[in-house]
Amino acid sequence: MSRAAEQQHWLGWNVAITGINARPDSPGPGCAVARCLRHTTGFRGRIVGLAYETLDAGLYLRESCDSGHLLPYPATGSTALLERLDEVLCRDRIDALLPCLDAELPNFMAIAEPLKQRGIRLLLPQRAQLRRRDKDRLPALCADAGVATPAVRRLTDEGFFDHCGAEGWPFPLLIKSVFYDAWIVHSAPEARQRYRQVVATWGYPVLIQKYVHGDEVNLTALGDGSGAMIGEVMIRKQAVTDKGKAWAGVAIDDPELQEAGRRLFHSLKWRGPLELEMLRDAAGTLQLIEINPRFPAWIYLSHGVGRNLPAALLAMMNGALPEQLDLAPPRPGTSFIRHAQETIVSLDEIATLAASGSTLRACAPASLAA
Amino acid sequence: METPATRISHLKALVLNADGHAFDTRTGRSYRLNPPAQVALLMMQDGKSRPAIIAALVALCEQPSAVVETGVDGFFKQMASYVS
Repeated sequence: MSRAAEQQHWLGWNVAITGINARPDSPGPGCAVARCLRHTTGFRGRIVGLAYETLDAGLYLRESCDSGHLLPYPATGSTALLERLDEVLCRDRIDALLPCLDAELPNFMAIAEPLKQRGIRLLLPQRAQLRRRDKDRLPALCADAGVATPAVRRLTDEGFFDHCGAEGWPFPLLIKSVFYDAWIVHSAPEARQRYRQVVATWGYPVLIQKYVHGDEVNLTALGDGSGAMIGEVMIRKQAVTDKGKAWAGVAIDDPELQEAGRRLFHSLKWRGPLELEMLRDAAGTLQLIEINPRFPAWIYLSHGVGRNLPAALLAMMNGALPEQLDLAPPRPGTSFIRHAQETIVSLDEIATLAASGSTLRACAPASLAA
Repeated sequence: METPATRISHLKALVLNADGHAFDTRTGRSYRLNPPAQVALLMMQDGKSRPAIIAALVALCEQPSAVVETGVDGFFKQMASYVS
């Protein structure tokens, strides 16, 4: 296949992936997305890791990323991001980019058009779609979709916890930021402590959600913007870390979860990957807890059940229709168990990255760096 | 207990292997079933009645009917509790 033809088909694309941090208690999805692509039959492209910290493991895992580059933190804005990506493009050709972290999505949305002009494909939701799945807007979305969800309230005063029970918000409660982190709190002093922690880390507002006890089930799938749910993979979390992240899970085939997902995708008209986090309460009702606008960290299981969703996403970005995707029937019972292991990194590698922001030494024109 | 209070679609979501391991494809939960329970589950999935299941197990296990009835009713209760 000629070089030009290679670049036309997604199997030959160079794919940039973010979220390649791999802390065992709360890994980003990026390395799992990379593994899915590595295991895609016929994939010949390079995988370019985009990270925010020099100790993000994906930068050094050659089985995940062929090269890696540091990005400015999302808080620095979309202009800085585009400038940095232009520098990266001097070193690495990028044909498609898969953002894997919630907080960076607004920046990537803002520069989607300039990136398209540079030949970089993205499949992102629209800003309004992203906003509709915000944690504080879930009740409105769920009312529209006909899906149950616990009540959520925005807080700007920790004094609420002194009389929350009288206002219909008895402990235990969940305290969350609008982006990440969630804690179950059982008393006013504990709630105040977590409230301050959220404010210090993420700022206002702080969200509280009524606590639901039950089995956590997750669904991930793709949307093409039409309202269809494509290639859904469902799991039940079997074991979680202190942060509630799954380190073991099993694929399931739950018609009720599937129907809830179908309704939410239809209501959102979502474009790109999505994860639904739901709890089945004591009465058997599925309650939506969160919607993540990206692949989950357990996405490698999608390869394990024959529904390699990162590969399917690239195929869609390359123009494939849902019925043309390589998606096996559900395979309930297939499990994953996450484990941590060390990778050895030389001083030279760290030094190169720290000095240049990239794992690649030479700065070659994009046309030579493929 | 005349009939098991478990929806047939939920029962059919249980996949039983030769070792007596039952996996609920709907919920992701796993169970271990002894041989009489395996027979009872397969018959429940086929829509067989309580008397039919008891009769089959009486013949298979060579136990008094009262003993089998107690065991079958206990199994129905567990199924209703875990699988419904």
